[in-house]
Amino acid sequence: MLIDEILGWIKLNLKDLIQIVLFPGIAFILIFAVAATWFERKYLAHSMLRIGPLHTGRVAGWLQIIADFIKLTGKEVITPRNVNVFLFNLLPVLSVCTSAIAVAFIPFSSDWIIYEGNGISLLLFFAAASLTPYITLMLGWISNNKYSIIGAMRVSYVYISAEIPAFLAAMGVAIMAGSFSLIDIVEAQSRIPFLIPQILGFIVFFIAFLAEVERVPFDIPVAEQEIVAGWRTEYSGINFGVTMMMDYIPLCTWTLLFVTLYLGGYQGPLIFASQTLSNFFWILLKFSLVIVVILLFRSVFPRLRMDQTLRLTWKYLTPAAFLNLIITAIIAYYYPDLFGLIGAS
Amino acid sequence: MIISWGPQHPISGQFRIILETDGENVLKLTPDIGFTHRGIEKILENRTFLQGIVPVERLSMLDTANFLLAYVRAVEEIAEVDVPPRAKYIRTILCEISRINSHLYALGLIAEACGGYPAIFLWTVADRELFLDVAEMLTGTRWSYSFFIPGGVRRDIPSGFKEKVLEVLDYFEGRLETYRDSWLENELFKRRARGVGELPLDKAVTLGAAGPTLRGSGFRFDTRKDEPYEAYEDLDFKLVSMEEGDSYARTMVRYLEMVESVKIIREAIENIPEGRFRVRVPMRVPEGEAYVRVETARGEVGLHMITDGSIKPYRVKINSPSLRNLYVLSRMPEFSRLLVADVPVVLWSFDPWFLDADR
Amino acid sequence: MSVIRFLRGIIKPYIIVFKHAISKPHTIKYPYERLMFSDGYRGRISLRFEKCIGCGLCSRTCPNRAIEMVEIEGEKHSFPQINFGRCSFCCLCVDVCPRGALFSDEVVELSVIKRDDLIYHPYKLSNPQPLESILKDLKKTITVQIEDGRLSYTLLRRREENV
Ligand code: SF4
Ligand code: SF4
Repeated sequence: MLIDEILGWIKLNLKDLIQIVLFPGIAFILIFAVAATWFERKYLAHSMLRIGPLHTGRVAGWLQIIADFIKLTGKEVITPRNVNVFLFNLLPVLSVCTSAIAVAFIPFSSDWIIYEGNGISLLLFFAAASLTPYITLMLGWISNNKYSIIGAMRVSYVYISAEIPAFLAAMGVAIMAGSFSLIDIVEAQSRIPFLIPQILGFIVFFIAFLAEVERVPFDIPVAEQEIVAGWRTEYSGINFGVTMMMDYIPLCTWTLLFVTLYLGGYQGPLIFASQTLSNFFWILLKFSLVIVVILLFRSVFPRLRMDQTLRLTWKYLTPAAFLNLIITAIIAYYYPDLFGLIGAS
Repeated sequence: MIISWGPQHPISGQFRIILETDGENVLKLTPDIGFTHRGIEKILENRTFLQGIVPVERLSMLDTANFLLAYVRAVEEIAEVDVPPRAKYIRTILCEISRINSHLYALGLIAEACGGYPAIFLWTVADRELFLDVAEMLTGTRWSYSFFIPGGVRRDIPSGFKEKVLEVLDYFEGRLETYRDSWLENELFKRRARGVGELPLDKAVTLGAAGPTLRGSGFRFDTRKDEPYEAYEDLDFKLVSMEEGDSYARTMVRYLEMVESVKIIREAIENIPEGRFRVRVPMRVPEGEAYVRVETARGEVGLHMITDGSIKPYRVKINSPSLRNLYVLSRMPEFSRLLVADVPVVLWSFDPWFLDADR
Repeated sequence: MSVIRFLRGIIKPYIIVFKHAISKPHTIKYPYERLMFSDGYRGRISLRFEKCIGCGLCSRTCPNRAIEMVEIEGEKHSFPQINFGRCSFCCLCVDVCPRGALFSDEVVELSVIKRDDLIYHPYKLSNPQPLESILKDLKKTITVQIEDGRLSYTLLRRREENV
């Protein structure tokens, strides 16, 4: 029977299904987007001596985000004149999907990963994550608005210039771990996280990844004070809601990668009975800490200008990443024993 | 590309700039004012001298006391009344509170204009609340005081006022340090504001800049020093100016002026003389003409009043600082390189208040 | 040296903002808590009906022409009627009244549904609604204070009073 076959298939692939639908997959990302929005609103409000959402949902206004989302769905979707309606409505959804794919390559425990990627999951992550900017670029371009076009051009500048140092810095980690597989990279950090031996790469990657996820001080493509809302100016109603979610999904995936590469990923002392659960705890803890640190940037720093960002990435970050790569490569070639000292391969 | 930057824009205010850009470079910048024109000058012709104190404040809601002072002094000059010294001191204190209010808001706005979602914007609003409390204690209202009338002020200082003011000033001095550490010394803010929108001294003078914009370019001019009015003659304060002429210097001038204002209030409240706080001014002011200058938070305002012996002024002409600064802004791309990202920073470093530019 | 200064200019602001983020917020939860104003606050204007002599000075002084003198049947003279839609709360009318018939209090909650409801007839003017009956949810009233110490936002707190 068909039903039996389906049930059998589900039973066979139960773990994969749970991973895709629940934990590192769709549900996790959506919950993260909602929770991060709520937390950011509360946290920034407190930094400004305000309270933030308060009444909806009794406890600290947690239902406010949901209420806002429902309100957005109820709003009229305005499509500007002379745009390709199909693409205009498709691209926001598409960009959410592509940026969420990257979470598939992050290991949450040595046996809890959606797709190990044949030992090149680091490369696959970069391939998946760098799809999003193209969609964002198109999205701003087809909006038929001057602010959107400026925003779209800024997207292409910022992403390209930030991705190169980020990738080069990550290569240093890959050399040190001797593998492109994120699981191997995490396992190599069992004694000491790569934060310490790769301190230069760590700094470069941190700054570049802020630019990748459009966080202050690099939120140039959506600079509110300059170009209204950048590439998302023309979006309204539920489409706007989806583009807002796009702020948080890359934040989620890139922060997970950052934690995996430099902070030891899921490594940590055993605190629950199950090794897997304890691994989940450690990666989520590190992840939340990094999120808490970078969310506050928004109320501390002004935004950098376009030319300053380009100068920073091309003139300082890229050479520093190269330097880091070369040093790591030299050590890896001549003194491989040094890596053994800190527990790497 | 021609961009209409405002009036529906997150930070433009009731105002529009038409930007002609080449990519990110600004080639031409045309301020478009008039969205809030209310004809205050004409309204003043239809109000008696006492009634006039209400509409004249609507020129600048952040800095009501200083604008009102110009009007009141013009009436007094024509009527040839001597204001009692106690009233002069009370006026000075309220004017400085008003100046601090305005500068605090300007500091918050330039932070907002630099991007992000800076916390300092709401800190300044929260601290302004204290000064509003003080002003409320004195005048009975928090915002548009309508407190000066021809011949003096409307109320005497209430008991406990001095202690409250000193307490607030002590607290505020600490807060000023926090602002300096968290925003003015913030390296990223320096990078956004240093060397942006440079206004050389000769340009500032020939184009007629006013107030902190002028002093930020190194021209040492302040009406409070140049032609002291009210109690400023007796009080000891520094004239703040900076040499650089960029957005950072203009912001810094405002910050240092707040420090000076605190000193002025302290000194004035200690030395406040006893006596009457109001003298009678007749309803009918004799025929005459007066031009008074008052240093408001945004620069010198000139108020020209002509009377014809009736109970209302014949003509009032107000020369407002924001309008002059907006003219300087419109000439900015000629001598200084601007990017689209610099426009909000430069605009709010001029701290224009569009209500008094439109009048 | 400049690197150290740069790092200082990055880290110090972050620490300051973080300190604010964990300190107590300043928000007053308005319908439940309310800021109390000092004496002589220029809020809603009310009339002491028996004191007014109908001289009309208030009406002539009002800069916004918010006061109109209306006749009331059975009374000898006219009484002021205030349109709060035009009033700017300058309180010149209060100052100018020769009999002290007008006074202002600290109620600012004057919003209504219909614009005509903002026109207060002399009877309504002389029966001011107390604050408690306008703000039914009000639980505490607050005055902002500085309790010793500079630089501390947390100490800038509220004195609770009974309404
Ligand atoms: S408070 Fe001022 S505006 Fe209001 S009625 Fe009295 S005089 Fe008129
Ligand atoms: S309220 Fe006062 S000023 Fe107005 S009519 Fe009555 S007595 Fe005259």
